[in-house]
Amino acid sequence: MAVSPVNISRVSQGLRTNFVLDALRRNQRDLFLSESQISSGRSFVVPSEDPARAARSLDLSEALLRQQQFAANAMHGDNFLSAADSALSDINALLVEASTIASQMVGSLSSREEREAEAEIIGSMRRQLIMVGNREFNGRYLFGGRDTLTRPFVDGVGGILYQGDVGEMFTRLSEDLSTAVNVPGSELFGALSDPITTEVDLTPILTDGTRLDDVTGANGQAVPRGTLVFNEVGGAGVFTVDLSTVDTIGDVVEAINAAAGQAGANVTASLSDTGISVEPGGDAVSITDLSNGAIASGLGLLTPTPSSTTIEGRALTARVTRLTPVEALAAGAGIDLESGFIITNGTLSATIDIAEATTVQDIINTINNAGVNVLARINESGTGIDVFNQASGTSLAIGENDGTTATDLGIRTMNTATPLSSLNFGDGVGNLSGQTDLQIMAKDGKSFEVNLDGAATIGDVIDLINAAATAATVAVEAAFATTGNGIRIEDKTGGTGTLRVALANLSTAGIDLGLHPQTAGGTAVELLGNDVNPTRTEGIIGALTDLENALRGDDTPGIASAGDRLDGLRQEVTRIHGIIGARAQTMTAKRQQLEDAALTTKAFLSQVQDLDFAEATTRLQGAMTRLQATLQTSTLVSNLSLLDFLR
Amino acid sequence: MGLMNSSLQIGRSAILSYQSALQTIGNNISSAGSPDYTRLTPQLDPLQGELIGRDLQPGAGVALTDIHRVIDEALEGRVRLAIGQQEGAAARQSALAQVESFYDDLSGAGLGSRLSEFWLLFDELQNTPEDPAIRDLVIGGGRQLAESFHTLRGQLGALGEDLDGQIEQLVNNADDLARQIAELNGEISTAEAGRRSQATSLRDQRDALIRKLSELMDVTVKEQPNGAVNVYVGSEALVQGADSRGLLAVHSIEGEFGRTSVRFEDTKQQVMLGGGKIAGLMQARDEDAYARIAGIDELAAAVIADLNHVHADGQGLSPFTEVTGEFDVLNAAAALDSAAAGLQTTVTSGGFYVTVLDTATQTPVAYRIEVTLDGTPPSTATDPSTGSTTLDSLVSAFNEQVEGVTASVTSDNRIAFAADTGYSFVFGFDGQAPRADSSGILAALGVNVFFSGTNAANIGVAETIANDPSLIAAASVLLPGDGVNAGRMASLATERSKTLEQGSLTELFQAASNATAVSAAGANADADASSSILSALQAQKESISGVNLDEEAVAMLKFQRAFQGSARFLTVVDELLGELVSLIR
Repeated sequence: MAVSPVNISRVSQGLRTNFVLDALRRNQRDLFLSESQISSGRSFVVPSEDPARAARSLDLSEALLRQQQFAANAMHGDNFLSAADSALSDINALLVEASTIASQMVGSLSSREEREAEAEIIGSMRRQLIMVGNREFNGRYLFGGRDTLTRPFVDGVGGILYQGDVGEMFTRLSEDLSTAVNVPGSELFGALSDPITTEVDLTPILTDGTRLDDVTGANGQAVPRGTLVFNEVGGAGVFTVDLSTVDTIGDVVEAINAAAGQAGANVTASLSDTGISVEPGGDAVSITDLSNGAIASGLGLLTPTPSSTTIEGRALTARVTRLTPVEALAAGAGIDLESGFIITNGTLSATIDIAEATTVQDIINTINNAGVNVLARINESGTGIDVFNQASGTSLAIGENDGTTATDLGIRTMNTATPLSSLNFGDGVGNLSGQTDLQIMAKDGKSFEVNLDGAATIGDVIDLINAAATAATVAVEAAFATTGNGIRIEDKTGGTGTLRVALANLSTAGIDLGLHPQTAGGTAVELLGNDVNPTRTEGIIGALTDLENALRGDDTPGIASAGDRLDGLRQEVTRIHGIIGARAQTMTAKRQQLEDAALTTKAFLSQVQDLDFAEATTRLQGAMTRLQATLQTSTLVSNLSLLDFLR
Repeated sequence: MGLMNSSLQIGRSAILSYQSALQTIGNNISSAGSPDYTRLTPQLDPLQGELIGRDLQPGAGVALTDIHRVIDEALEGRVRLAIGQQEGAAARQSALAQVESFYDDLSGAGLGSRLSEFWLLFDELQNTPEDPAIRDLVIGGGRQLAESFHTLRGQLGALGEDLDGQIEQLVNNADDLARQIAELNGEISTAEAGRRSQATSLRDQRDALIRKLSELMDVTVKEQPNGAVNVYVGSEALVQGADSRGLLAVHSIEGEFGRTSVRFEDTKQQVMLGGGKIAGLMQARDEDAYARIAGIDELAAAVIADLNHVHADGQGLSPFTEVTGEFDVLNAAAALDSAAAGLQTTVTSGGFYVTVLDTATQTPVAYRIEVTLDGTPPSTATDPSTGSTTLDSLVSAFNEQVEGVTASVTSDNRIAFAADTGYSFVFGFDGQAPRADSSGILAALGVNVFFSGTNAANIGVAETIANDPSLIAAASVLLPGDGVNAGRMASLATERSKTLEQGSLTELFQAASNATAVSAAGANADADASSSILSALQAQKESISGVNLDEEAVAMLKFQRAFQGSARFLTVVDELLGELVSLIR
């Protein structure tokens, strides 16, 4: 604000005029400012009036916008979850009804006709269930995972097919919190089988081209990027290796060697199948991280104490990816590509030929395109391939095609190590304790009995059969099938009768092992057992299909088993209902919280932005008084003149 | 005889002197309203008379010996300096007030709001990526954001051009003023030659002109013995005696914008200005307009690069059947990270995934295309396996590996991909999992990107997605409900910018906007301070050189009375003379 100095010796006419003009200008500006503040209701009209407040106000407006968006996101999640929640209530009601029917029909009082009629009802319930599974919300399928535009459940050949995705959709509830808003149908309806699990580990060897992103570090975590610090004690001294942009393991080795060469250090890095090793050329070498990095430990090379012997990096684990070369799989052992394998799913069957496969994706694509309703993908931990049965109500079996392909890939549904307890969907094998379970009749008319006591796996059963055959001196040999799955019994007696497995002591073991009621007569000398360890979907639709079939087939144990499954599934649905409920609640709570936060932000914003009217009016009043005083005094003073007194 | 002659002479001198003194007072009073006027004071000196008797000297009356201008030349110099500073500060103040209004987002219609709101659209896109309406909104938001960038940049550019235009006008004014001062110098030295008194009104006129000139530039003045003044700008003389060197506005184009510079007309040497309106305008033009354009361009480039980087790793609702890169390279045979290739964003060694889908079965077949940029000589199209990757070698490596999609280099050195019949393709996905482009080459070449353009002037929504919003890459695993990549794009609002690294993109704009407010507040304070200084100095100047009517009235009374007394004295002398004459009869 302009101020005229008061310590001046004389006052001229011009000075007085300037002073009055200046005072008027200042007062009028103050008035205008107060006026504009009051009329706009803001404590500052342009940011430069108060840059600090303006910055704060921008920050707050920005935060407010975001909070409102996050609240909208929570609202979206809430809506989607609520739709799923109501669908789940419907599913639960259907399940209760189906369970009730199962428990009513399992009794011996129900007639075949009644069961037939109830089967119709169960069938319609199953269709209702599929309708719920295909329910839409705002034009998006609720239970298709992220595949929201594809009808998740379709009536396919041999069963209800789940075509949806298995992933979750997320919405952001804060800068660093994303929450799932859906439960995929695969989980809710159990519409995909459990993957076929074996002990096979397909972890590939490291190659130059293995990407660092596809490697689990020596410390069990992803390998971060960073800089290695080498110290060749007594030699080249300290040099660093910048690995901030390396892409592959080969790049790492190259970068170390290049940096060593540049520093004049006698250090050589090389890549083995499982890690990186560093060879000092004489002088001892230490390897550490730069400041807070973790790449040295990630690569398994952390060597704080200088070492003059070879530094063998700790093992790195490469993950299987779709682009992993087939020959690198299983620690470089590769797999039997030539033979292929056989997939049987319900009535569908296909022989998978992967002779041409060069990468994992070739195998996966071949399986997925076989048209047998299976889904193959690399497992979460990147150690192998998972194969799922997509169809509800069918059994999936994968067996060899006279080779070891399926075994190598870890997707054979049954082998000699399969525990008996897991057979027949976990029902196991009937075994009469202390009594013989099988009677094997050879073609030459001889027979022998087998006691399965103590057998835990299919291999044990084969051994017991062979031991019993030897003991009984019957030239019969059991082995595991090389094509398909199952126990294979070969008759070497040269007889002309029929080879068959009879049930001894009413034991169900023969059926449970898949050996009864097959026979090998005429010229055939081999009896081929069934695959009794297939995979099926354990979900609601499968259970209802089984119940319907059992009711139609008047199969009391089947009705009981399906009923039990339905009871188990009710708990599963309740669990998922709980998850969805909890998520919906989180969403609601979060929304509430965000809306509260937005309110608080608004209050802050108004504190920062809004005008204190009392203060502003006081200021306006002050400015008005000043202006009035200026006008009055200046008129008064300028009217005084000596000239008026002259005559 | 002494009595008669000398007394009449005394009376006469007084009558004449006071008449002139009153004239001066009259002039003062009449000029009281003129701001350029310097008050005059008459100097009255006694006249030495003849001796009376032996050694008595009664004096011979009074004479008006000088009329001098009451002026403090040193103060005048300070006033001129203050005028220059005040004018410079005012010029910046008014320029910054405009700049501030361009940036002002308190009304919620500026670039800042657009930028904040733009990222929020990606949250909506993540929520319902299948919704075509939301995709349209995202495109609309992108367009509006681009438009806001264009507008702000245009406003700043226009302001700069406008300020530059003013400079030219003002330089012409300054040239005129210098010429007039030189002319007046000539007139003053002629008028004052051989005389004791000053050519007051001419000097007042000249002082007014110098003050006007000092509004435009920081001038210093040195008076010469002949009454002329030399006017200096910095250490260079602009006016010497009756000659002006002349000033010239020279318009040159630097980059995209014009910049006018001030030169001496005779030597064409640049005039170094330290203050005044012209310097203020130049500073406002360079620092407040053009420099901010550079900042806005940088921000726009970061928005383009950061968003494109994430976008290039995602997939739309449907795969591509063909796509052409938005950005060209200067030389398709140069290593992609070299200046010869001229890509705007950083590219490193690494690789990207392209997944070819069989249209009939949707079977995905993934390929990884390597990019090697290790400082080795560029590889060739015929042997892409060794050396640094070039656009040509990238295309041949792609075509060597990938089946179902053909890459090519367009006539304007952009990359183009086209699927064979029965195939389509996506990036950033290997058929099961998301796979980021670790080389950054897709974003750098503008393949599968959101924005085209390189700065605030040419930023725009990439034509590919503008034509088909379903190609906005919201997904990370090519599923319609998958909005993971949209979520990543939304988080760019608060994540540290990968390109600019000092903060998030919204923060960076806010920082720029705050800096503007702070500058404007600073300019306001500067303008206030310099105008305070000026008015204080002007008050001092007025207090010395200004006319006070009461003073003048008192002086007038004094001279009137002295005149009246002298007239009376003449009457007395006349009477005495009469007495003497009557003695003769």
